Amino acid sequence: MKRLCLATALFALAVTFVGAAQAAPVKKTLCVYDPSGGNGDLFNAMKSYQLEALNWGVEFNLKPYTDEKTAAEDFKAGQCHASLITGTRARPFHKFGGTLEAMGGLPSYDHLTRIVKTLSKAKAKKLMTSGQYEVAGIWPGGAVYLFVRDRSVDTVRELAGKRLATMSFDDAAKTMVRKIGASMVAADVGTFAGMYNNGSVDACYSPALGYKALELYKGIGSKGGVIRYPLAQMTLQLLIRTADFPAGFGEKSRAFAGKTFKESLKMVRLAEKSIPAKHWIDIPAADKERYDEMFLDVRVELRDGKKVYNGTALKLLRKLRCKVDPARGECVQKRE
Amino acid sequence: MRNMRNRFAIRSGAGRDRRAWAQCVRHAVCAVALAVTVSGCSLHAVTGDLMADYATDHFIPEMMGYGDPTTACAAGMAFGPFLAGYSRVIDEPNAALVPTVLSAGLCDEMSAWEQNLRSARAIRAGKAAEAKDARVAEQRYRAAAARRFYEAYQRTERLFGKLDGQCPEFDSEHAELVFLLGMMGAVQGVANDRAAEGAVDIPLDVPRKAERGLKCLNNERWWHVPAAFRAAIWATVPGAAPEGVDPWSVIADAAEKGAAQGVRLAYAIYVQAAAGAGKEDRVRQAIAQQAASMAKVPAHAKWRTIDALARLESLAISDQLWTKAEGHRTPFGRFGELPGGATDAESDDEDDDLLDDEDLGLAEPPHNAAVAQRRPQ
Repeated sequence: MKRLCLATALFALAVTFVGAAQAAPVKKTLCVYDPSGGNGDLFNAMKSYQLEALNWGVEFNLKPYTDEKTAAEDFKAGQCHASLITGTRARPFHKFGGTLEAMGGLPSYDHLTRIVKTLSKAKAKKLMTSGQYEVAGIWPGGAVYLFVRDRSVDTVRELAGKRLATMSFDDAAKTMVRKIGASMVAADVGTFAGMYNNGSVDACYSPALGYKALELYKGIGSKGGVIRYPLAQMTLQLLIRTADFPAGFGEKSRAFAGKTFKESLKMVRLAEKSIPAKHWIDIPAADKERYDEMFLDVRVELRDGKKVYNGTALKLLRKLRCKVDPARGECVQKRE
Repeated sequence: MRNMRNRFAIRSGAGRDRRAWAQCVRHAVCAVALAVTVSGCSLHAVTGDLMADYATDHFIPEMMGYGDPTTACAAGMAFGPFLAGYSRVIDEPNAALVPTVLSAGLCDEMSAWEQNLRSARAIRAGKAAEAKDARVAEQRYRAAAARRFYEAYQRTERLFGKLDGQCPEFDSEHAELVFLLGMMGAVQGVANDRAAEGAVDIPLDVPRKAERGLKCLNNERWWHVPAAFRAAIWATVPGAAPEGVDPWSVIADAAEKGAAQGVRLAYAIYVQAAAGAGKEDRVRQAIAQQAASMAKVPAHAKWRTIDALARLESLAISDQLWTKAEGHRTPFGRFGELPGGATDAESDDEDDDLLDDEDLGLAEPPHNAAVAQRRPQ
């Protein structure tokens, strides 16, 4: 009887300890890349995320970074348990996640929303995990457009020989620039807008947000424009080290990001609306088809040659594109 | 006057300025004296008439198009007693006071909503004393709101005469608006009074009178609100509905038509009536449709405040449901969604097949399936 009482008491004690352990959230640091720092839209979005994470047993300390490279390096060095960085910057940690930003991979926000929602399902956990890293959520950064200083440069052929500000850390972009025969001018997030605005380069690429925030309209002036053809979808990806977080954290986090993705897109869409109609350059459908094919060639090259892109991700993107529009030529070829 | 003086000084120099200023003052005094003499009234009475006219001709139309119910509430609080004071020297300026008093009632209603949410949060947290305190505070605000809303109705009656089955003759759009707002005051007043345990003791036949009064208004001109209000009364007052009429169909139809005109007040009536009747499916449907309409149809420029008020009223119900379920009000930017409903993530099954591909490495290994088949039942 005594033994039974003792066992019962020990069990009760153990339950109390477990309960207490579950109740107290674990403290983690989340390093957030936002070009505007602690006052930016991304950091603000993470404040809402921070509150949700409390429900999943994690108390985040948010740390703003205006330099993305440092945010990625600090994450790698273990100074941040989680980091919100662009998909391209996340590629070395998680090739599948980084490939979601593949050129021409997601031609519209509808495509992007559907892929993020698909990947936020529990079933996709394996795809979202790569070694010790996991993508615990995806937020939109905006479709990337080509900004030209001369609106007569509205075909790929005309870009040949033109100076194009290119993110030097992005192998995919460098390959593309070489393919179209443009002259690559190395730049980063902090320098490309200045180069474009002062005429050091003839063109640059940026999400629509840059039009006002980086004053790219200065570079557009009276002659330039923005080509209405998304080159890629910029995303912000929340990278975590799975082992640092409670079991199931990644799934809950992705489900939240997926559920609120449409809301997150609002800011991106607002930025596109801020570009006046006179600055948009519409290109013929036939040209778009040619560019689609060109992007396909580059994606395959970057998958097989430099191994920049992840084949599984490319295949998933192709399946979605073909589901949306089965008449696309690539749906028969199935090169991805 | 100072501006007139300054403009004159610039044009003519300081000496001529003094002469012109004196002349200007003399003219103004003469004009006022003439007005007072001709009208046989006091200076206050003249000012009262001017203020009442200014309110109906400019202040209220400006407020209606301003698009901000919070400003309307504050203006109602501040301007109401100021206008009402002129009742001592001229006929009651009820045409100006009905919208003003009704706006002031909105302030109390908004405060009541906050206390209602505080009470719900305290209940969730098991804090009985705080829940009770919030409930008491809510009832106080409800009583204050009921008093103001009922005053708006009473002033409407004093302006147009008792609602005894005959329709008043409206001589302007503003007169119709005042009448509509008065009827709203009746319905809102009773609802708040009931929530305040009858503190104001508004007679319970007031909604029926309002229902009959609403027939006097052109339904289409007033964004189908008369039809929605009448149907809401049919749905909540036993025996009020005409035989064979489904009040909910009438409200839903009115809400949709009103939304197409850019004034979604009928949706707010729909949401409130459905919430009061415990019809959660209809609450969900109405809130979702109202939010969807807002994204498609811009608010009517002339009635932006009414449309914004409609959103605020529906948001209050949405906040109550969210707080009861989740402990917080409607998440920012997500008006239109309610807790427990099919969310985007849950309802988006259309792309499930994207993951059903062996090449993606997510499919169950075939041998597992075989093992499962061999497993004894």
